[in-house]
Formats: sequence, C-alpha cells, structure tokens
Amino acid sequence: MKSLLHVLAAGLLLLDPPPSDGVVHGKGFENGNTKGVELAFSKIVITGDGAKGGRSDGYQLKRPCWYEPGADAAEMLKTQEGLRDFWFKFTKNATEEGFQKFIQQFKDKIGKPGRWWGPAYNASDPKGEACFGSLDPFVFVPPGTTPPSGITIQELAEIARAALTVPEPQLKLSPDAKSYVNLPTWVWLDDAGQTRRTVTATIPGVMSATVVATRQDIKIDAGTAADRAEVRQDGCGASGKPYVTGGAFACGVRYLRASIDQPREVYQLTVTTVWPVQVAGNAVPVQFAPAQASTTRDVPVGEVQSNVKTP
Amino acid sequence: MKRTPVLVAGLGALVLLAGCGGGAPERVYTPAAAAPSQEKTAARSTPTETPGDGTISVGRQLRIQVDWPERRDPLLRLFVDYYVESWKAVVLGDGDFGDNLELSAMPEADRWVRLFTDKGWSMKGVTRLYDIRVKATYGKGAQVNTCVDETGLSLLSAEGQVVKKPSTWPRKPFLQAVIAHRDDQGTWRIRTFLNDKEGCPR
Repeated sequence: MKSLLHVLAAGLLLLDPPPSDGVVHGKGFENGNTKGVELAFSKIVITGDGAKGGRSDGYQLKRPCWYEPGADAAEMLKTQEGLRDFWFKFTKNATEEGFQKFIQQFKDKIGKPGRWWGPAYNASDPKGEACFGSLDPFVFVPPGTTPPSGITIQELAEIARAALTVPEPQLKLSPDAKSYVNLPTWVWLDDAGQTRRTVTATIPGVMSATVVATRQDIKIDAGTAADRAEVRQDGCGASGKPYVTGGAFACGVRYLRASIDQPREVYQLTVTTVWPVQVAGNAVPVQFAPAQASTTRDVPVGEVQSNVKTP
Repeated sequence: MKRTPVLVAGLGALVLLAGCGGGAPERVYTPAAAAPSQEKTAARSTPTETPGDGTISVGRQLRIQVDWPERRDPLLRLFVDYYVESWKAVVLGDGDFGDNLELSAMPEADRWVRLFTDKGWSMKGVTRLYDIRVKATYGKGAQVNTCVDETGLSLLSAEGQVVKKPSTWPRKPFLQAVIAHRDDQGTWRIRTFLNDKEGCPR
C-alpha cells in the first residue's frame, strides 16, 4: 500500500504540499521494484476482479513511459499561472516579461481545439523513471490525434495485461502426505471457484481496454525425469481431476522410483495453471502470452515392501 | 525491500502538466528517444568551495561530505549541487538557488527549505552523500541515485540550542533519487524527487 499512497501523493504534489514533517525530499518509492505495473503521474484507472487477490506473472510493458491526455487549454493556463510565485522564486534574473513570455505558450492555446498531454510512467520498470524524464513536460495535441510516444489503445490493453494477476493454485493430492512407487498420485485444484478474471484500464472520458483471462489448462511437472515418473495430464482440464475410488487415473503422476535418493528425500511436484488472455471485444489486434501461476509441493515417494510366504 | 505490485490510478497527469517545464517553451510532438545516451551536462557554477574536494562547508557549523565516485559523470553533480544549495538556503538564508530545477520540482524544493526556515531551525554537524550513481539514462532523461546519511546532524532551534528531532526524521541513511530532464540547451534539470527509506543499508 505504501506505493499506492506515494504515487497518489505525487499526483497531488503541486496542488497539495506533502505533509510538513517530510524532511526527506520527494515521495517514497521502491527502488528495484520490478513486478507488475505501478503507474506514476498517470490518470489511468485500473479496475476489475483480476487486478487483486492474485499474483502478477511479471508481464512488462514494452515502453515504460508515455504521454497521456490531460488538461484543456483553460485548465492548463490557470494551473500554470498558479505557479507564478514559484517561477519567480526559483528562476534566476526573473522578470515579469520573462514570466509572460513563458505563460504565452499557454495563452496561445485558449480557444483552440485539443488538449495538453503530459508524461506518465511505469515505476516497476527499472528504466521507468529515466524514460519519464526523457519526455517533454507537456505537448498540445489536436483532437483525434496521438503524438509520438502518446498512449494508444493497444498500450492501454498492455497496461491492463500487466496489471492482471492470477491466483496461486491450491493443490490437492491423493494420496496427500506420501505416495508410493507405481501408485497414481491424483492432482486437482481445491479452488474450484474463479476460472475467469478481468482487468480494465481506463483513461476517464477518453478510452478503456479490458483483458479477460480464462483458466484453461493445468500443467504438471513431476520434479524428476521421465524414467522416474509418468505424468498424466490429458484428462486434467482446467481444474485437475479429484480422486474417486475406482476412477480412471487421468490427471497426476505415477512415480516409478522411490525418492529416497533425492534432495530432502522428496520429489518437488509443480502444478501450473495456464490462463489464456484476450482483449475483450477484440478491440485491439494483439496476442498476449497466457498468464501462469505455479505451486510446488514436496512429494515423498516410498516403496511398498512385500513379504511373500510360501504356504 | 517490498516488491508488491501495486495498481494505481493517479491524478498525476494534470499535475505534471501543471508543473513541468520551468521556463521552457512548448515543444510539440517530441517523442522519447529510443536509445539511452550519456550526453553532456551543461557547465554549471559550483555552489560552494572547490568542486569535488569531498567536504563542503556551509556556514560555520554544517559540513557536507561528498564521496565522489571515480568516474565523474557530470550528471552526478545534479543532486549534489542542489543539496548543497538547499542547505545554504536553510543555514545562510541564501535564496539564490533552483537553477537546476524544472518548475514541477520547485514546490517541493520550496516546501523543504521552508520546513526549516519557517521555524527558524538550522542544523549542525556532518551530512554525507555517498554511493552516487546514474541508475538509468533514457534519451533526454535520467535517474540519479544518492545515498544520504544525515544521522550526524543535530537540529538547532531558533535560539541556537540543540533540540530533539521529530520522530519522523530519518534515523538511518536513505536513498534519494532524482528524475532529470535535459533541455534543448543541454542543461539537466531535476523534474521530481523520490526517496526510499530502505534503499541504503549501511
């Protein structure tokens, strides 16, 4: 939550001064954060059940900064004129003439169609801040056009994709605590609930893009080579196959060798859920890689010792 | 360090539009450069004493120790110069600073100085800047990181007495980052400040 607060504070930087006890310059950030998407200086609103309660798969935006539409000409002029005192205080050899020259560019746009666009960035990209610094502080854009480096509907969909999280699979195994050589270990997911998640990224009043992720498959990694384990996943579907007495084994692992010689004497079984992602309404011709989430469990595998007695 | 992904809807675009740019004229449709570069930094006046000498005195009671890296990228001076100038404003009442700021950074610079001057506070002791590095460059943009250790500073009241620092003040070194923009004249200016209180472990 720290990041949320500091980014909002950043947005308010010029309108509401930060708390007066902040003896360190500027707003807090997480240097080195590289997961998901963290929008800074942005108007984009992220909504949807897929934006929380799960884990990001590390999808990164192709470009870590962009211009977004912002104030109209009148708003911009008013805001800039409101910064007059700072301009005089921090500009060397400041004169009224100099300030008027500075402000003229905003006056010139009054009555002209279009909006001012300004830079925003993804703070979870290591180059996000530098990229933000590379953009000019404002550009005036006529209606119906997008400036170079201006955000597009495709990039908005990418932001929604980057904000998408999927839940870690809750694994159920049978047998649960310990398996045995040649005994099928059934695999299924305990979270039978949500199999569809959506995230929408919106620039209010301008455009929005929604991505939809649907849990489709699970993948099983036995944690050892094929000569020691036989993986069955053709019958898994989206949720695996719960154990049924006498049922046909179609989703899980049959270990062929004991785990006694493995590190910690267990196999590490990993199950990955696969969530293909599409843009709702085919608004954007883009193919996203599926979102994935994995869980790993230790599976000790023993041998059944039999004593055969002759009558 | 926490790495939780956070999804944010900010109000910042309007605000940045409001604040960036200093006195720079509008530049229409200027795209971000594709490749990072190490461009020149415009020559700037040294705020005080000998550049790069390691220790800078601000008044009689405050010293700033700068651990310069061997490779002196000019960008590295950006925050150091600003930092020294800020303390000069606090300790000496020298208000002639801010030349290395974009307009968007000016309110924060003003707030910081006024945090002291409004109450007549000053500081004494030694503050240290170290591990100064350009974290990233991207065309006309850059992020410069500096570790700041102000644990050696004491807060002085308006009467010149050492007083207890508020609990919110940093008790350990912290990371101070600045995002900078290079204008058409080749001058780097600070666009905004960031900090990470956990960013500079001892």
